[in-house]
Amino acid sequence: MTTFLGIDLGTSNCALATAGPEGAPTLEPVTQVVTPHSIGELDLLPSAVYLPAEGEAGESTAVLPWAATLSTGLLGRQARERGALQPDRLILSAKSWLCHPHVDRRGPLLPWGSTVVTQKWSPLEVSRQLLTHLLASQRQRRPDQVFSAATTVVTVPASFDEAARSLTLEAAAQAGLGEITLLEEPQAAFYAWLEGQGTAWRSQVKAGDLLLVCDVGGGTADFSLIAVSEHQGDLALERVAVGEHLLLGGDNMDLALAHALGEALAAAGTPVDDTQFLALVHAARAGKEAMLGDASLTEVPISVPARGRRLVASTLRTTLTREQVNRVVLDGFFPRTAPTDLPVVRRAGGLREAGLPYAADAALSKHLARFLTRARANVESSPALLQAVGGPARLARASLLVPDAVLFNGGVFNSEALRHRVLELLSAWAGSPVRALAGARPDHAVALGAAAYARLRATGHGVRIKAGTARSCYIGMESATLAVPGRRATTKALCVAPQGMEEGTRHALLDQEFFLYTGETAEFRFFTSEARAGDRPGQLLPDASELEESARLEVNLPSPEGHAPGEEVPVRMEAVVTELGNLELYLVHVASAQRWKLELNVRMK
Amino acid sequence: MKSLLYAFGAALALINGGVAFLPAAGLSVPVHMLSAVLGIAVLMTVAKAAESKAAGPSREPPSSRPAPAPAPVAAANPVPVSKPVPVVTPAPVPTPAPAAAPVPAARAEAEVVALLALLQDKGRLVDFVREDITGATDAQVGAAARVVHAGCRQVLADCFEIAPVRTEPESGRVVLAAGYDAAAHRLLGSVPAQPPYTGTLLHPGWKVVSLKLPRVTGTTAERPWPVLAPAEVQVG
Repeated sequence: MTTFLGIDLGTSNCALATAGPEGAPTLEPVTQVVTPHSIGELDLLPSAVYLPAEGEAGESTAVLPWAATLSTGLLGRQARERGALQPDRLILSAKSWLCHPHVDRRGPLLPWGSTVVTQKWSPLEVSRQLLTHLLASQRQRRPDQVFSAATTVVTVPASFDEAARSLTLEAAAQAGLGEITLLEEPQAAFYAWLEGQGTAWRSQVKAGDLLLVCDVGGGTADFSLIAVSEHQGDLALERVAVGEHLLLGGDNMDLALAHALGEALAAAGTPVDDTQFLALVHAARAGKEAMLGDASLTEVPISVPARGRRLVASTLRTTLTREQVNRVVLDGFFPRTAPTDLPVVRRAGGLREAGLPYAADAALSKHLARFLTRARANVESSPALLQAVGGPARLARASLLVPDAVLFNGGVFNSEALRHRVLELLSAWAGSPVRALAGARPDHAVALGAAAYARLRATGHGVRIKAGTARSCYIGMESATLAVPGRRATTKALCVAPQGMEEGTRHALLDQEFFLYTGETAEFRFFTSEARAGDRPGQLLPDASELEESARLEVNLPSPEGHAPGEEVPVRMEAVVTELGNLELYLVHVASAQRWKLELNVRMK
Repeated sequence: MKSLLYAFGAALALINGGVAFLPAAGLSVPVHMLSAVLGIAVLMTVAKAAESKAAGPSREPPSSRPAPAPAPVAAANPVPVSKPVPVVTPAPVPTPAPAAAPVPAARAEAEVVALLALLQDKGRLVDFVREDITGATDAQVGAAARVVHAGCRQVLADCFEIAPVRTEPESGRVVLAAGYDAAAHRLLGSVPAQPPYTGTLLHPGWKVVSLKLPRVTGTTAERPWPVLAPAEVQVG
């Protein structure tokens, strides 16, 4: 029986769901090492890798069922728990490294900064191993299921650039999946909602509505806007804007609370060590969830065990108060800010080195305001998008592009209090009530939605979100100007693929000719923007510095027929979005009709 | 180690009264799993037994244990999960039999130790029970109990789906008609010769609806059980 497979390759946790030809998709538990000596099935596979020291090998006797034929590292629950106190040997958030433009994403650099691990892993290798593990588990548990590349969908953040997307495809191919389809996570959450609603979704939205998918996971936040319009008497959906990669999520809230509790304990004369701090994080999470779930609770007692056998004698006591939760979580992460109150954003590039670009500002409210501000600019730049969101009337309502309804996703939004705060904030910005879409399932929606989408793609039954490329893509071109001391030459940017370029389309840039030396490596800079949907293919922007630089493209041309090696060859560029939705760039030698694919060389110098 | 085995017998007798095991429809719960579950009721005793541990493990299976589980400790031993999943008979990859496969009796014991190890790891249960709390204040015991409660509660939630045997409210009146599940009820007071029995529900009982226990792998003849809690060494 053909099975449709949806894989949520998450920053903090992975999940896998399957769907048959009919019926609701189901979440499939993942076999993994759960204690040093046992294996079991869990709903999620934590995206954690532990790299043991050679001498540690004997510590774990747990053997995975596929160990005889397939070597996978220590991934999942036990890796995360074992590594919690060994950060030098633990790889977390590898996915965020996959879209980090300033490192060699194929290079062995994780765990970042570790001096004890001799054989490090590349971000690509982590994705490959997680996918390999998920597949091995599913094949072992369900040998009756038949799935192929054509029936498999892997999700990526909407904020993933083309380089990170192409690396994810590469990891999937290396894991034996073949050429799979990628789907943006907020869209996947939306497909899960559509699937769960059946035909009833049409009664929750109307033509002209603008919907915000607000996805706050453990370590990342991801926003997308989807417009509802009427097309031939039926409702149609179009994704009109995606957010930037934002390393801020529920884990930050737990950490912030744990720090607040730790400070209180230290002030009382009992500072906590690393072990106790970990226990504090767990306790803070449980306390936060209890308090956000029950408005009548004023405080939650917290117990912090210490190392050593003497539990009763050494356990520390403290209290998590409602005042702390309100101050740290609600007002710290979701403050009531003005629509013009934007986060301080560090520009990519420059000399800031090392580590992931964690959000400098913890206020998700401000990041949401920034997203809606940029979404407005994006829509304003494109007449087609402006019409999709309801025309100038919507822009007149507020300084931001305000949505009419919100689909919440991510464990954080299991809390009614946090959902309420986001709606309150958006309503204040919009000047009119913004509602939540009912029936959201914040926990496993991405994997379930991916499986539903895999089936929808194959069968054609159901509503699809018109999406295309998530952002506009550009190639940088050095200006041909005289060198002036003390002045950097500006880089121009040539639009090769605007946002919304659909599957199975191609743009040949006939007006732009490049001269390349054959037999030499030429390098192109690659830029993206999620606020310039209106640019046309072939349009030249005078200054690339307002765009995000995301990768370098490398090409080494062999000499075409009739050209001597080392000779200058005129080429043109062609952008293709494949049937699977992947952007590919080609150089075309017009005279010989030869084409070369540009490879994304993911390291930026 | 004899006391551990006595504990098994005792636990079976005890549990027969109050707790019934009702595997989910369509699932056959392996016998060794059941014995592992029983371990939870005898944790205290096991902990005590560990104290007096002297020689190696007893190879003699407890008299109360039913026929040995069919599978040896092969790595790919399929175990049902909480969802109705078809039992995976032929694993897609052939798994070579371990060189020294321990006997199934040792596996059952290994599962009990593994569950206890989990309760210690997450809930510090062994530390708590073995600590002398004579001189501790109630506040201290209370704070530690929160650690034990939160951790053990999580283990229970992860590994067992537990439901009450009776859905009537505690202290309510219940009638047990002829043919009631005698193994899932314990009658107290003056019991007439034949049902129906009418009485007050003192405790609604607990039953395990489904199990999702971790499977122990990699045990050897030399180390038939996992370590309960590894010694921790801060390097440097």
